[in-house]
Amino acid sequence: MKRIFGALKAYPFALFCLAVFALLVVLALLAPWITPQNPYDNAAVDFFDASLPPGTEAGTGEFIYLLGTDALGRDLYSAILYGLRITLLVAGSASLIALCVGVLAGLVAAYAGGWADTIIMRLVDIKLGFPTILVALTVMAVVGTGLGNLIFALAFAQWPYYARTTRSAALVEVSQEYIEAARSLELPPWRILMRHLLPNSISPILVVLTLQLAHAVAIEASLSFLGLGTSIEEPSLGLLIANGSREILSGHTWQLIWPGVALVLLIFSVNVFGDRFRRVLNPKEA
Amino acid sequence: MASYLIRRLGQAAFVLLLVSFLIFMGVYAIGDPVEMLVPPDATTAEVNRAREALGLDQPILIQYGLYLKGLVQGDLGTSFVYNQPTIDLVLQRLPATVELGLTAFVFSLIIGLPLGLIAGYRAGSVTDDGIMNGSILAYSLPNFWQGLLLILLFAVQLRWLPSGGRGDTGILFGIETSLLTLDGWQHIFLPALNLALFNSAMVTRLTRAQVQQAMGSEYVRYARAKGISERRILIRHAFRNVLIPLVTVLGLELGNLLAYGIITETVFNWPGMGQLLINSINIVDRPVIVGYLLIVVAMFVVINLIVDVLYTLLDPRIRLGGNKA
Amino acid sequence: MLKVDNLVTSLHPGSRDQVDIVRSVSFSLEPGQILGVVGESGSGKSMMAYSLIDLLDRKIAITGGSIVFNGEDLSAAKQARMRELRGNRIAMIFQDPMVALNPVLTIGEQMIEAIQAHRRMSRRDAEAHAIKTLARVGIPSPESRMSAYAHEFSGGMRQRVVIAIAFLNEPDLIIADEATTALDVTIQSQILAEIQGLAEETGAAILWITHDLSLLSGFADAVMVMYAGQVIEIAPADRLFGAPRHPYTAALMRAVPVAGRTRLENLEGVPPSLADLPPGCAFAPRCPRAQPRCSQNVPPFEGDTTLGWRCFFPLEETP
Repeated sequence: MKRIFGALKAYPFALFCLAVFALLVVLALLAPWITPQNPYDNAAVDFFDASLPPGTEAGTGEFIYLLGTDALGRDLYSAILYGLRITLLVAGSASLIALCVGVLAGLVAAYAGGWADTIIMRLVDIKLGFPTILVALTVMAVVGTGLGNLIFALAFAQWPYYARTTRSAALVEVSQEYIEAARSLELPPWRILMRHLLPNSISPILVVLTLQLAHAVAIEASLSFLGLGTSIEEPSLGLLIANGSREILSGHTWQLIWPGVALVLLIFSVNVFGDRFRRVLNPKEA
Repeated sequence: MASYLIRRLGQAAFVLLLVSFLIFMGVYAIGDPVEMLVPPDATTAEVNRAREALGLDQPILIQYGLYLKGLVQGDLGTSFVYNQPTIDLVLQRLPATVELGLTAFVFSLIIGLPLGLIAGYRAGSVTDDGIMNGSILAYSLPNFWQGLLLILLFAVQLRWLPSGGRGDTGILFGIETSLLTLDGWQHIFLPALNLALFNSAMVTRLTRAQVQQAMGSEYVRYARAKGISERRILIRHAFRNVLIPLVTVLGLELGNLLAYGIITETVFNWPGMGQLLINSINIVDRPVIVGYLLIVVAMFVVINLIVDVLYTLLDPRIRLGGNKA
Repeated sequence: MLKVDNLVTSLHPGSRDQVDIVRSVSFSLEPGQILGVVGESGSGKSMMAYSLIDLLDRKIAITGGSIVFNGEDLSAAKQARMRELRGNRIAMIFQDPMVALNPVLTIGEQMIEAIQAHRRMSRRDAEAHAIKTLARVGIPSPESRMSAYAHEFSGGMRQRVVIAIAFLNEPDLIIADEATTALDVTIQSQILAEIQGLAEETGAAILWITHDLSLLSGFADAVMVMYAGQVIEIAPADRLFGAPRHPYTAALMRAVPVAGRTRLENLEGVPPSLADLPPGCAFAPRCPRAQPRCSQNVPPFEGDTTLGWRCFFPLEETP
């Protein structure tokens, strides 16, 4: 790990992007304390302040709408930070679930081989034959909108990437002598998996995690934009953009632009970091 | 080759069967479309009659069996809402979707191949860094937002192009296409560009990686030793080798275009299959949802098959049955 | 015809980590002459060859000396001029034709492009010339083989194709880098005999690079032995095989090369790292005749570019 971060020092832009990502996470976490308004609390939102341009003072005179308001009178800055929270919650937990399921499946496939390997990898191949967005969209069409369903759909569509990577990383290790030794000592399989196979497969899995996290954010936003994602009461960034898109002809462009900028910053920073991370691990590709 | 094809077709049929079962069970397990279709004041008897008429009173496995039976006869059921065969509904909209996807595919090649060639040829240079970071930005821009910005700029602010819909069409080989009229081109340009951007980033990155690898190869060094011009080395020696792995991945990207087309069609109000899907999901028109998904899955399976066959045709080492060693 | 004088080639030239990989190499070559260059892997023999035709990797460059070819200094020549010469006046044969030939282009195309890169010739004439050249190196039914791919030839036939390509434009100089290493011994000797014949016929000079000294006996006119980037002995072939002066040459003559290996099995130790050379003679740590003086001072080169050695205590000349 130290070696990896040492190598990443050669890419100052990647570290800058990591910092941007960390900042976005902190802003999202602190949202209730650093925003002037809870955008989900109808009592706090003044409908008469609808679609005010950035920099306008609130009707109550208590604060300024930094990024303007949306068509319902919500402070856009507050809505974006709250939306960021939801986006990160959905994409983050979906990625973690996909990681756990995929890593476990990959380890089992590599360690057990035979039928278990064939079945798991056939499932993985079938899934990888289709774009993630299509699979996630299909699942959402079946199970309906909502946070939990969204997390499930993303995890369902993404676990095969982790499984494939984990399996190939672990296969290299399975044939090593120390695994043979551990097997012949009749250590329980799960101990071999956790103690020996996993630590040696961790770097490529982390690369997949960063790139898939960015992908999950993008897909979550797309599904929400299509109306198949988060609920209208608690909009994620994608839904904020969908709302903003309805104002495209009325010239209230800030409602479309600022949520999008936040979304792109998030996806771009994670992607750049993931890209450099991958290069550090596979210098041949750089 | 023949046995290979048969094996691949068998695999494809298995995938189709599995996916159809999963989607059918999933879609049919949830919600009751009858409640949405009969008037709110309908009596229980009326509801039951509607249910029987739609065949929804049967056990689900029998329903699936009947569905499969219809499927092999080209019958994907009848839309609850439009009261039209699903297959007709989807096929009516197929040309618009395919036309958009293929135009976007060509756009992405026009943008991506040259950039990838330059970046790969100058790997490690400032130009290369610029192109690669640009490509990361391009695939980090969510499709729908980027499309909305295109509308905002070119349709709303500059008023150069229409903001959505499909323009006038002409008939080519019995298929309606926008590509024959100026109005059609004006309408398809923005959606195709929108759909192409993400893909062109992928094309750029793939091409670059392959070109970089090829330029470091022994056969390029040998071509240089023969005094061949750099231009010919890049275009003929490197690119020809790059083409083979590229075709495989580009075929899969074609599938991505089909999937992301759903979003582009929604943003640009493009009357294709994707828009039909989103509408059908919103009104729980089950036969259309299942029918659409099955048709798309079938298209994917076919694309993957074509890609594999193309791959074997392009590589003389495989084509002639020789081994790679 | 070719005169190389104190050639120096370096990795990372001009930077703090500059490492000289070819260290002041001098030799000359006359038309029709075959000069064998022998050394272990890492001795700088291939880098020396790539320096001659400007095919060095990006981080490597010539940093000293001169290469005079037909009266023209190549170390100062422009890239465009070098491309005119490559494949035309100076041709190259690589070790493994399987990876050198482009796997997805036909042999015919790769021959025709080599002709048309240097001569104004119609496609049909170029094709006829290519077929004639294939026949000359002993490829059966050359017309039909023009549309074949590299993988459809046997190893020996592939190497003949590459030799045919080298002779296409009747070059003045051919550089062959381990050109027969991948082949088995019978085919190897057939091909060596053919090259000898072609060189005689066309008057081309040949620079034959190999790790296998025994291969050069009866083939090369002169032999140059390289170690750690330097020439440590150069002599007419009969003289060198009859009475080697440098202990390293003597060791090479006793060594039996193992297929695919370019290290000597019966000589202890490995060549020194060029980035970390010993203070005296580079060979001293492995030399059976080494004296204290050898590891303190670098021995000077004694003799000229046709006969000479770099040793304080050379072996006796036994007539």
